[in-house]
Amino acid sequence: MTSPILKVENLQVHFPIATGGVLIRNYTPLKAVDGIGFDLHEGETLGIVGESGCGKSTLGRAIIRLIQPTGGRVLWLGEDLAGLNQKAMRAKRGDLQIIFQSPLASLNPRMTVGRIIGEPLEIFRPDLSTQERRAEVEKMMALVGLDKAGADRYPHEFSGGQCQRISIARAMILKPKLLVCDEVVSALDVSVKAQIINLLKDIQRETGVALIFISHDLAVVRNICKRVMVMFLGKTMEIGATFDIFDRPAHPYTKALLRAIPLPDPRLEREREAILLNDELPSPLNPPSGCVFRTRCPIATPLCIHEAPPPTMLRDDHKVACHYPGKDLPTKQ
Amino acid sequence: MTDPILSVDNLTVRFKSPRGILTAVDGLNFSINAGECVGIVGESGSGKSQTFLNMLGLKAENAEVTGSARFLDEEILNASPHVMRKLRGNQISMIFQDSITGLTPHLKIGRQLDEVLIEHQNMNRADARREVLEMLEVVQIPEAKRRLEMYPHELSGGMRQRIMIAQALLCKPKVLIADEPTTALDVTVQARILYLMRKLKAHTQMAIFMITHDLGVIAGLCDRVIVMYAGRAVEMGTVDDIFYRPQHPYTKALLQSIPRLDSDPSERLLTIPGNPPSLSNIPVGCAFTPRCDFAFDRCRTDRPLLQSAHGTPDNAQCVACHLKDNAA
Repeated sequence: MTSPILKVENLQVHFPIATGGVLIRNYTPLKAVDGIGFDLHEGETLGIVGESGCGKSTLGRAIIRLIQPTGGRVLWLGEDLAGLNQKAMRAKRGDLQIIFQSPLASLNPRMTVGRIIGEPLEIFRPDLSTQERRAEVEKMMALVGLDKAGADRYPHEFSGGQCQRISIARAMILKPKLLVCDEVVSALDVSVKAQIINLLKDIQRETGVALIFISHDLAVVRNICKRVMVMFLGKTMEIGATFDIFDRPAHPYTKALLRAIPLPDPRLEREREAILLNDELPSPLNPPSGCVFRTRCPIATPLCIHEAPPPTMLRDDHKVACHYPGKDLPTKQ
Repeated sequence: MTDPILSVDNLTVRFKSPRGILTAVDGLNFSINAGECVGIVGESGSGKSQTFLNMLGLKAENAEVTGSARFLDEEILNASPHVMRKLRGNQISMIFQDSITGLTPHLKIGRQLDEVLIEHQNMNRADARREVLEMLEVVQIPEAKRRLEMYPHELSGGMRQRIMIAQALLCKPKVLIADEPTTALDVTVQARILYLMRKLKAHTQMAIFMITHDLGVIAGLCDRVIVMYAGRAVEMGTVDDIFYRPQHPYTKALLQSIPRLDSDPSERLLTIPGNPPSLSNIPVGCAFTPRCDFAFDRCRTDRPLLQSAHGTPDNAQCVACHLKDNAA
């Protein structure tokens, strides 16, 4: 087996939050990402799922250092990104790209689409002539399925799906080795969502780029990712091959998430039994003792209050952080 | 068969804009019976929200609404604001997607909820408060008394959404219109809200309109479904008709383009080429023509009418597509 291109070790992002009165200022750390670790191989797709506020976006940003991690290491081809200075980090940025959820908000409204897509080349490849750059831009536009006539138009003239194609073209023009996709299809209409999912899969097959695909939509993640990590309150609950996570989930949170997704099939829906979690989410400023999931967990015991479950290896590459992995959950009709 | 509780006939909503006249809803017909849940599916701009906002008199200044909407045999379309105020929140209630803008930020939850009953049912504050507490139990709000003294921002999204549902249900409305009530919520929270709506539907005779783009939510909750595209109904039928026997190419494509938990992930998703049309530029004939694999000459010129898919009258499956005539 080849060595991973990205190795995240015990990554922490803690934000200081001011608490206390006017005279005495205290800072409580908000542990947005708390001790996350995983490997990513070349051309692989890792899905990061979890509900709002679980730290999945912060994690994505900390990996490519849009947010400075407060602890742990991000080893990119053996080199720790978290320790690099600004200049050294900037040199790496061509390899590490990100796409965001809101396609229109991430495109400069005053630049033509051609300039937006070509801008990374202006910065990283100043040796290219204007014509060469233009040729590259047109190649990228063809790759993402945009008509090259659109290069002289502005972002607002394009639909949401097309804007997301522009974002993808801009991210891919430097031929990055890692692309972080942060909820890239969540804002799109159903019929357009499928187009972008297929496009990302095609691009990955053609270029071999590794993807970190952050999403709250498990059905989309299942379709696009080889491996999946489930996060809750800044911690990894479960990580493993997509097949393992979806077909034999071991963590109660993963199980509840999977059972909560409404299926587009009336017969299955009529028969299904819901697992209802307590929907009071714990405050990240004051996380529960022991297992952070225990206040929502239907099978929590006193052990969960006192002891945080260590990650347990169930089978090859399938790890779960639970004292009772695989235990059945109570259901409601 | 019983008379429908609400029936809409040829509802059309147009907006005057600098770009010309935009048709948001185009000749819509439907009805709902007591105890029934009708799902309205469509992509953004298909007119699903505009249908109901305008029906309830919540229209924009430049909107022009024509047609008819009868609630218990009374015409409510373009009725006076006074009449509509008495109706809205009382007999017909609506829940919106965004629970933080749906509640007044500077009033305590309790005050906002009491007000509904004081205004519509002439209750005094003490009686109103008792009813409110009962209703919060129905929507499973823990520690209800304490929550009433809180402001909306102090509650979680799922909790706020349930407060909105409680607010909508206080006057025991005959019709509930839920506009993407769970779209902004996490799945585990959504599961709770849907569970609650299923229970309400079973225990009361309330008619529910469920507006959403999530076909999973529709499958679990609705009896009948209306599929909308560019302001028009393109298909209507029972939930089983729509999911297992879809007739319109758009409905079929929509069902095939969603990633599912039970499909083979190595298979490519089927996609619908192109984008939904802009309202200022809806194609002549069938609005779906430019994206349809089966379109032929007639689709470009003639607008297909919604008609029975199997030649049987009334509540059966209806579809607006020329292919049906060709096959016959």
